[in-house]
Amino acid sequence: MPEAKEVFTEIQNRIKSHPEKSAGLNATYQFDLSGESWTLKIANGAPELIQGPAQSPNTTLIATTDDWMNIATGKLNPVTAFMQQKLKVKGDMGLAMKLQGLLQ
Amino acid sequence: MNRRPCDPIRHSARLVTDVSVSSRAANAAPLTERQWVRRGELLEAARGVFERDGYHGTTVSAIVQAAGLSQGAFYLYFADKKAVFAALQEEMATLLRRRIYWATRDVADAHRRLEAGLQAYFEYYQEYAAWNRRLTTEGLAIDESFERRQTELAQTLATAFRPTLEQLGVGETALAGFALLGIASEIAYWQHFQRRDEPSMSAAALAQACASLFLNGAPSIPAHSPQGATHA
Repeated sequence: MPEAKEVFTEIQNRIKSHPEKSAGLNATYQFDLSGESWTLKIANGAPELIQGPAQSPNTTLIATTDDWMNIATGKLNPVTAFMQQKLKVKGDMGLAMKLQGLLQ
Repeated sequence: MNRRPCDPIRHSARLVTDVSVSSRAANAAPLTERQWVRRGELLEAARGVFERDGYHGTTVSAIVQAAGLSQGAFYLYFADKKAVFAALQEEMATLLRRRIYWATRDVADAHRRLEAGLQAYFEYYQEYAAWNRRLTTEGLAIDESFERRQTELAQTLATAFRPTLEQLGVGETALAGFALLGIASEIAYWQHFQRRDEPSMSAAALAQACASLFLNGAPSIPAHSPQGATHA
């Protein structure tokens, strides 16, 4: 299984490679995993990845590292994870779903 | 069964600006988060019913009963049985593509990368064996749109394997990529639905067997000659 950093870097790269999907988007996502936090800031569609928590995230996604990695790598359906409480979302749920759309 | 994690989310109805699920049309009306979960519940329930009853034996009534929702709720999200089957087809394809991508992404050795991709495929097939069976035996016959989606998935996967096949010295990689998928698909079906007394094999063992079958056959594919070409 890849490291969390690889997955977040891949997310950043995918957003960069499909700028039309994130055009005009301004959002700060914080990912609270097992003992580590990552922040993905998207300003006017441009992503920036930061290791560590955000000052004021719009949306915080909370999961164990294993569950998050399973979601990111296709081993766990995000909606199923949400319904099973393996994935929790604080803040703007709409932005969380927007993120899923960016990753298709 | 835990369906919704907490009441604040359940009762919230903020509009979202992205449908976020590949199988919904880009111009579809935005979903609320509650609708997003409801749609997920319907898809999960529908998959169970399709797996149990088959496509032709499934009714919308059975799906909504399994989901614990009303018939009216179903039609808020899907036009009919065919639409929910199509949505499942696309979402399962997304899971498979992601799995193979991440399983192969960092494997430097081409032979091991091929096996890693095949192992991801066999693991996926094992986890969703009943769904894959229905898709294989009934899905393609529903109408051309289902065949087109399956062809697109096969094309995507075959293309993804192409650089690996080139590194392995396989000729005619376009043809070989589809052949590889065909071998893997038949092996998976045999393993789960046709095997009799033979012992069950792990996904890793199936991947090794599949790669071996493929690599011992594919290098012998003769170079393609354009139609009409003549040889001395």
